[in-house]
Amino acid sequence: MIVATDDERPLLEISGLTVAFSTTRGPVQAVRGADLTVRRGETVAVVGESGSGKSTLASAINGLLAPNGAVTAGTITFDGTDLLALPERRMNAVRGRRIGLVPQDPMSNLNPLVPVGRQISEIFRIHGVATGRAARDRAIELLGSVGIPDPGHRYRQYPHEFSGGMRQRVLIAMGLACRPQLLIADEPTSALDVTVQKIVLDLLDELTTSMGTAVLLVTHDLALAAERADRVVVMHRGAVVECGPTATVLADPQDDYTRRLLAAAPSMATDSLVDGGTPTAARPVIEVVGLRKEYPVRKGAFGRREQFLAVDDVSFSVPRGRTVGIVGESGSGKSTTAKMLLMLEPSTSGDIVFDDRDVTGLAGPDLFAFRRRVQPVFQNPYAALDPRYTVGDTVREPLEVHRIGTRVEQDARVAELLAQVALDPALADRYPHELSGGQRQRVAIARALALDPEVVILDEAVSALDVLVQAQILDLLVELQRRLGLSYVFISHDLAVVRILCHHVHVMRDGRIVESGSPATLFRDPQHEYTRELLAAIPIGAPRPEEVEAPTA
Amino acid sequence: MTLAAAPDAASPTAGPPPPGTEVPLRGRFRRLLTPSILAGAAVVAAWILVIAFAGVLAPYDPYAVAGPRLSPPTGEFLLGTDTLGRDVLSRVLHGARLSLPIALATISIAALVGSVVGAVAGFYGGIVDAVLMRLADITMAFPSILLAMAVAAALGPGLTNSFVAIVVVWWPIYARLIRGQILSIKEREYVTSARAIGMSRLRTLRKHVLPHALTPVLVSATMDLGMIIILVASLSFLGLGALPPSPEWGAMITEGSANFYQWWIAAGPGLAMVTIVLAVNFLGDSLRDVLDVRTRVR
Repeated sequence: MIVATDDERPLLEISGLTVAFSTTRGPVQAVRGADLTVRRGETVAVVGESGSGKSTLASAINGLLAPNGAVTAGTITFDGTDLLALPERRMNAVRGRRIGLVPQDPMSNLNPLVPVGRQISEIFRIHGVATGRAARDRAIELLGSVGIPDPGHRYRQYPHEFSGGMRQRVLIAMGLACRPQLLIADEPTSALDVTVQKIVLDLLDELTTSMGTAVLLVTHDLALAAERADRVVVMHRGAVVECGPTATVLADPQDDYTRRLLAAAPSMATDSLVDGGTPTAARPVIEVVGLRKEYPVRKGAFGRREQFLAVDDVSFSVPRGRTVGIVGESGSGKSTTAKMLLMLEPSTSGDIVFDDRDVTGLAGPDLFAFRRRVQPVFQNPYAALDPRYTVGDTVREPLEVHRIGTRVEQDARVAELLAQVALDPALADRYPHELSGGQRQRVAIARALALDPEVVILDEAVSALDVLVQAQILDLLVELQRRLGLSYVFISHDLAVVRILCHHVHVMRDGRIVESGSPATLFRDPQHEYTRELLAAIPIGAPRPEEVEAPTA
Repeated sequence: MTLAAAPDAASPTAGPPPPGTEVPLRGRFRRLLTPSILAGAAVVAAWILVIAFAGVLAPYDPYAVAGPRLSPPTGEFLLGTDTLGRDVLSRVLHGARLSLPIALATISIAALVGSVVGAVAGFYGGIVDAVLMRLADITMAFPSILLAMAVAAALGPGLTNSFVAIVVVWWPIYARLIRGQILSIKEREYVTSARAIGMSRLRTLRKHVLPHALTPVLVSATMDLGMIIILVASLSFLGLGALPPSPEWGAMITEGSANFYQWWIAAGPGLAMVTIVLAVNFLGDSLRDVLDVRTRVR
């Protein structure tokens, strides 16, 4: 990907960069003495967990730090110019024109009140590249080049008329509008489905290569960085802990943190956490037969009511003590299925047979009793716990609602549950905001286990966690299953995680199950075209030693 | 047991906290001590003392003739005397005992009624929501002073009736406010989680939804207190609230309006009203700054 240039001076050189934020708790250093070099035309990935300072580093280059942040030491040299010494007015000429930016969230980074095309041609006007009709023509050409069909028509449309992937393409078009020498892409595809992610990244690669633009790719996804970058920079707690050519870093990581990160990231080559075993002879704990969910939708202000089919004829069973994965992209109906299993959403038709009894339509005391046996853990560790209650209150609540035990017995049970999820029982007095994301998710699991359920529905339960924490929670889930004989329904968009955690996998698309099987067979030999597409879209990273051997069953 | 015993490495405190994190209140209160807040608090504290000790502080009996009629402010009568020779200062001080508690009671009851209606409408939705909210819309379609006058006129004059009239006019503001809050809060995962353990709807509303929705109502009610003080006085001014010889401020201003050149009769209660309304608004603003996440500076 490296474009040969006569000028061997690096395009971007950051040395000893330190960025501090002033907060109510005093100054906090988000970046500490970071060094980074980007040569012309190459792609450098900055990898790190949340809070590692990778996004702060990217904002510092652009001079777009939050008002309470400031560079306290170090230099940023871009193409021979010291960016930190540049007055704001001249910095404006650099931003957008010579350094492009592709932000993370395609939903909030386009102005919903301005047609998409005008938002692009505005960039040409600001930088005096073109005006009027010329700007319009160039914007349409650009829309076409990022693969948006019928760009002349799309030019006049508003952001809400574009899908997430299309919006991200528009943002790429905006970032590349002035053919910048450097493009900063801050988690450009984190909000997108994996198949869309692949298309968008391929496009980004193609355009930056043809323009000779260097890319600084900020991402939490090591495999994605490995697949797309020439060199990788690993950040941890504000410092650069490792940096080097991608293949070298992956094959022979020098830093301990990089090694842990590599070990924790599940890939299609990681060993399964659960043993395949033989299917148990006992009857499945849950059997879903022909489940359907329709939502009424209205098309237009006076349009007819129509039925939108969210889940269409879904059937599967959950063997006792096993994990059943449901994989799909957004809109596939996997979360709606979870809600119906939890009796939080009525099904339109079909049966959910729980322990030989159809539970659809349960109400009153029967439903109350059912709730003890099936419990959820949700995705967002920041939203799943009521911030007004302590950890102890949160875990105790199910016991109170079901009137289990005296207050003293409940206290003992809370301590036991916290210990079970490897949390210090002393944390019972803490509030959620005092905990890390992983600790919160452990609390959510402890709460789900309070009623001794037989089935736990895990709806994207590890998706919002950093990779090291995710690995710990996955281990915990496997351990709990082994000890308590739990059955899991694991709903996720992440095939690599599903592959190592599940005994049986169902792939959903547009409300239907398109393919089912054990992870070993399904992922090695996918039959359905969509499954193949999903698998091909996963960033696999550079080859690792263990991938040379045959994948373990 | 092979559980990973190490608690997850909490990400260091680098960068702003992730969205959804609630910052502890303690840190936010530190930004509170600005001059406008201190001044507001001092004035409000002074008026509370007046309400408590009006009998001691007032130099004369507010209902009895104390000196010559229509005396301008003098050393003896600091704010002058009215048409009957009563001391204006004494009447203003005693009037605080009427105007301020009535305003406070009005706003509290209006906020309470509005919160209950809004919470029920937002949480249960459907037909309940539609009926309650249309009722609120209809009420809000009338100019508030006009509707309050109509209700007060129908009930007959008197402070209690003007209290009822203002509650009738004012509750929809809080009903709408809290309904909007509830609509977004009830989609949060911890509310779903409460349903999944089998908690009843009413208990969920009380424990996990309402407490999060009340902050804006508290802020808004504080900001509205000044307006309510003025509204109570307006009804009295129009002869629909407190009646003479009551020293209610609005009623006093009515008496003053008949004697244009004896400006002190209306100026006394008017100035009193200005100080308390300003002070309350200052406090309301700062309360919003502290409690409202939307105006929180990072």
